[in-house]
Amino acid sequence: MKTSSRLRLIVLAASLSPLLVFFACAAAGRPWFPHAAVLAAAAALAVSLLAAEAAVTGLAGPMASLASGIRRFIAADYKLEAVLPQAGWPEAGALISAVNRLMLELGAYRAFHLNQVVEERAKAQALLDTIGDAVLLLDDRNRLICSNAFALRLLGIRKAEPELELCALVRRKDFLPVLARIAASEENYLKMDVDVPGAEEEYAVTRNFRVTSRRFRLAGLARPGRVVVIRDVTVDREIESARETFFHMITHDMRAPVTSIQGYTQLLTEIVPQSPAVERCLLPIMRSARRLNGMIEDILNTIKLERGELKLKADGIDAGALCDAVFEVHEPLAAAKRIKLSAAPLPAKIRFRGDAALLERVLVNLVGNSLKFTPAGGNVALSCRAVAGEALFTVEDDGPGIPREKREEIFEKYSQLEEHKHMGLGLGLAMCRLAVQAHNGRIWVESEEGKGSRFMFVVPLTASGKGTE
Amino acid sequence: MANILIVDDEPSIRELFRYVFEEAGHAVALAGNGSEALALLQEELPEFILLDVAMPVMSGREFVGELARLGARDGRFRGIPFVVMTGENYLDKELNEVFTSAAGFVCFFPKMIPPDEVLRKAEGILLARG
Repeated sequence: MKTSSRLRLIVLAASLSPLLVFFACAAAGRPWFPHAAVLAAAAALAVSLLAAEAAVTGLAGPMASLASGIRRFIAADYKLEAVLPQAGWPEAGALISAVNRLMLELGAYRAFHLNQVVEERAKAQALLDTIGDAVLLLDDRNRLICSNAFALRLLGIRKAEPELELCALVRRKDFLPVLARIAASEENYLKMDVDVPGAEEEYAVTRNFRVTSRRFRLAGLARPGRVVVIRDVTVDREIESARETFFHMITHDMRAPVTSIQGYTQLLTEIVPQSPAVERCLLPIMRSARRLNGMIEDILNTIKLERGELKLKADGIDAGALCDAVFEVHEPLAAAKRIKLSAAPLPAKIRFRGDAALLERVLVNLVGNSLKFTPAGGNVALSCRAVAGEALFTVEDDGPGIPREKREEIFEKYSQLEEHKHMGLGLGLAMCRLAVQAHNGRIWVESEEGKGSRFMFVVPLTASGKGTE
Repeated sequence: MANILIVDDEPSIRELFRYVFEEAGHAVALAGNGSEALALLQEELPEFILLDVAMPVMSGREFVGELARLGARDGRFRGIPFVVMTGENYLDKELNEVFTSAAGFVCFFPKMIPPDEVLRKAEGILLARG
């Protein structure tokens, strides 16, 4: 019988029982009648007590055991020790059955997802441990969340204590200054080198490590944490040094013949009368020789700037003339690629002192890069204006743009975006930065992926010029 | 009412399926790995098996191999229908073939599929086999 029918029956029995007693007394005759009221009240009480008892057994009892069962389930970390017995009236039994099912499913889901998490963590750790670099994940308070075995070995960390900052765990002192800098920094990307002397005096071999650190976000962290990667670059350094020596040597030897080609071609254009054949043959030779010469200059400038051997010339520079010269050299190239190259006229004359040839190489590199990476039909604009005592040069394009995490890195030597490998030496922007820094200036890039890039650099204006005349 | 054998190393998953199948009126036996399952099915022949893949001691794959050997010796164990429950999104080709080529293979189920669907599938198969 349904619970609702049972409850109706109970109410009916409790209300009818006194009446029945009255009728029974009336039927039994006079001797019983004076006690009829007392008997009716007693009957009502007895029936009500019995009904209450039935409701407790059928409803309240099962509900109480259900509530305590759910509490036990939660206290046991969502593990159901035993299913709750189905007691009481049918609806109570159905409710207990549904709750049993709910608790079992919840427990199973929880166990399944915990297993998945453990599995994923094992996969990630296996990947980390196969990496030849030391990899560390730090939380927003510089505590070690996760690392590979090599990192622990390299830094001399005995045991990863979750409560301590990384610097308190590291026993290899050589890394401490760099790690402390990383801990204190708010920069998104950091790159530093650490030289670690060999342990034994007699066979001491200094090893070079490159420490990079990037910020990353975790849902559980209030502020970004950091990924720190420490790579042994000892061999890379040796290769780099050999490569530089080779570059230096070869470019030195190439300079004379290239200058000779350029000079004689120039001479030919002056001797030979103008004709379409001259245009078709000699001008491309001139342009190529000039480009080759530019590349040689960049390599030699980079090496000299790095070594502090380049003495800047102090020419009087007219920024407008500089932009025009770069524009003129690149216009035929842009036209051939169907790119619209423009150089906006300067609002006022900007003059300053600096090495004109070197800064021209900077602009040539920036414009050349934009033309190289902007697809046909695109735009490249070159401009200069005076801002707060500095000359601000801008080369803007609507090419593919540069990913955020690469915007600092591209100014480093031999650094190239993956998709641009084999498209040059990766020296141009490094030379640009060194040249601009040699003028006490700054260079940077603003970019939006898919929309374009804006390379900008500033150099201080001379006191006399104040930039504008 | 049928005899169902549930083979999974995760107790909470075993218990969930036990509850669902028992509520539907079936008799359920539970095993924590392939080896326990082999011992149980020799005591009481199941009409349907719910099988996990990755288990300690004896995996689902090894169990299927043993079951095939047992079936070759004794016809009663041949072609017992089973579904494979897997938590992996991807089973390698070879492993996939081990299961699909076994006599009795019905289908794969992702691990956290609602248990009623597994029950419906099992009852469909049991009904078809009479």
